[in-house]
Amino acid sequence: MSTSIIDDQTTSRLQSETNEPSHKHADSSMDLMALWDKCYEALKSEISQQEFNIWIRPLQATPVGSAIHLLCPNRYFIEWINEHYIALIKKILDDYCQSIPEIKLVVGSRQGNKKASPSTKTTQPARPRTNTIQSVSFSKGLSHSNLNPRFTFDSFVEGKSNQIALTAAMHVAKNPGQTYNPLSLYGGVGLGKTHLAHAVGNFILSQNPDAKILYLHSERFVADMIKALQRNAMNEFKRFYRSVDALLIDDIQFFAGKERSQEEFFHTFNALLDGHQQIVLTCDRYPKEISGLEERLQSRFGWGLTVAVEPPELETRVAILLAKARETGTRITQDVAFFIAKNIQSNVRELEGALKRVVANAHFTGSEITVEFAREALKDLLTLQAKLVTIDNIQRTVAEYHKVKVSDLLSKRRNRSIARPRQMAMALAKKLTNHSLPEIGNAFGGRDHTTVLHACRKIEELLQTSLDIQEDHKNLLRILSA
Amino acid sequence: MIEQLALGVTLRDEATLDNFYVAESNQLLWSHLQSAIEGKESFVFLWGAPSSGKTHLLQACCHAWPERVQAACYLPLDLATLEPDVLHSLENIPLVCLDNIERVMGNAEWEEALFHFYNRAKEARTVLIVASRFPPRQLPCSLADLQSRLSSGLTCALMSLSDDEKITVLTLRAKHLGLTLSSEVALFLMRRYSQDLAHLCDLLVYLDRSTLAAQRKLTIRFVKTVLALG
Repeated sequence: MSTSIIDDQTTSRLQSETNEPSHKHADSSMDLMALWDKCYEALKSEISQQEFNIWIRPLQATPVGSAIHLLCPNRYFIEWINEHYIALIKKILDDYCQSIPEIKLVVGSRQGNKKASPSTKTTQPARPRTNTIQSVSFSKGLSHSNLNPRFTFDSFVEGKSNQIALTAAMHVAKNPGQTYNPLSLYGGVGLGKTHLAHAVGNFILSQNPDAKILYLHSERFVADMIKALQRNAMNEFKRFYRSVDALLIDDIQFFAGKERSQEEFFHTFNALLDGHQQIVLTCDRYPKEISGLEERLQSRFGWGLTVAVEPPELETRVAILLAKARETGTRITQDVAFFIAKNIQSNVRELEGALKRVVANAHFTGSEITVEFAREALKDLLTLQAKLVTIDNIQRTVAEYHKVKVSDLLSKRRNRSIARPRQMAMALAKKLTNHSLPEIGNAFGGRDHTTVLHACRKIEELLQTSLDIQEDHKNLLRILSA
Repeated sequence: MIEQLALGVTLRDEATLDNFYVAESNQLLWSHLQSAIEGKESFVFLWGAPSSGKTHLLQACCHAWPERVQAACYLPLDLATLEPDVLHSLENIPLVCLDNIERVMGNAEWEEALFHFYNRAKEARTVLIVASRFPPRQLPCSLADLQSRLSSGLTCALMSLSDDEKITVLTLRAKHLGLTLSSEVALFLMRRYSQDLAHLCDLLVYLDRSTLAAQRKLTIRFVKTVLALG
């Protein structure tokens, strides 16, 4: 088993604090491990089980020369163990040997940990596909392609709600860097944006196995940049990110407020666009709506094609359930799929969670999956679902509160007695539901998403200045959350 | 019900799967946790009322994980000293159990750290077991991305025990201590002292010591005397 040591600068600093004199050491690796085993067991009775499980159990000991390296998940652990347990560890070791070996606290983990899974049969998802990008020197320990081979266009369940996004993604995959660059996919959580981004990457790779495709979450871009800054390796960082044929970056809303990362991403973005390298972005909201994102980035995100992924309608949800069940080797009937899909409407992740529960319960009890069985398995979830807030419910509640008609809220009337409640209802819909701005606009008489954005901003502004609006907002929230 | 006494006893027994009483209503949950420990299930979300045994189960899962070969980590997020940085690179640990997740909901920094940790853990195929007082949809979570991810796993409720089941647990616990506890005394303790099993188990240790010191059997009268109950 090899040892990966991350963040060696931290390590060396901490080593100097924890090292014992090197002339005292045990004879061999076996002795060192046996010694650590004794210390590990002794620690169990010296500290509480909770402390042990938090701080000691995550450690992985490994002999390196005459020293014991204790691999810690991160610096936080190193600092805590240094402060609270290192003296105790040395004291215990002193009880078991005449010369205490060197103890080094190191950030890292054993490579191949996950391979030694305790289970022989697993239903873990397929390994992420890695391609030539890993051979780029900068990527060593910093970044790698993470395309999930399961997320393809073939495994994507098409429906009215995602047809446009799917068509756009397929077009981009067939003509990378040509027509729609960047492709921005946005929509509520768990609707398949990540799946489509992976599918674009997988398709490009299937056409050109040498293509350098990089899928990553925006957090990884930020983390890589910070590491590059720390290691004075910004040139390598830039070279690496600008060398890809396609950059698929997930959840760009997390760039908000991170100015240095935005600056770097802006330059990467420009370089990729100039080089006709494809960019695919996903976001949980309309990109222009991300507060804390520089205007120049917002504007660039809109340069290519921006498409919404809408929540799936009933038929699509049924198709998704049937497909997911097939993936796990389980057969469910259309009736059961309809039952679950009718009751879980929010997003695909929840559908998946519900299906998992039904299937797991059926496996455990050896029962056939019927509608009755599904109802029983999802009893608590369905009770919660019944209490969820919908746009319809918000419109009804706001109309009633302001003594206007729901039809007025949906009408074109613009006098203040109608416009203000309408704005309030739109702002509440944005706050309390997972619907995107265009979806909300659509539910309010087919209005544009910018109208909804304006309504949200107006209400936000009034909440700062008007006590009446504050009171109304508070009351409506209370009624809707009851 | 009287106010809890400061008994000054701590349980030194390790929380293991063997010493957890699995009620009929919790058999399913039990099987789901077994699947997670065997690596067949990558994400289990368990929720239940305070003192229903979530912490015991999470620590027991860490205990059941093959030690030293495979590291495991238990993190109670209500620990005031913990900061979101603790989650950094934690996905390299093959089993991570996060307890009391509801305590950091509403804290933007924690929510974002958890969201990123979840994504990394999924990518790294880390087995994740999360416990909370509430099911995912009821968590006061401001980050919809996190809430939906928490909803995607195998979610199961840890049911509170009935009075009869609590008596069974107490009797087993007493037996483990070498103490004979009749169901009448157990019921009396539950009615007059506490319904909370953790408190009752602490009390049993205290009563065990008291019966030894006084060389008396554990009767309702003795309990009344020791606990000064009228």
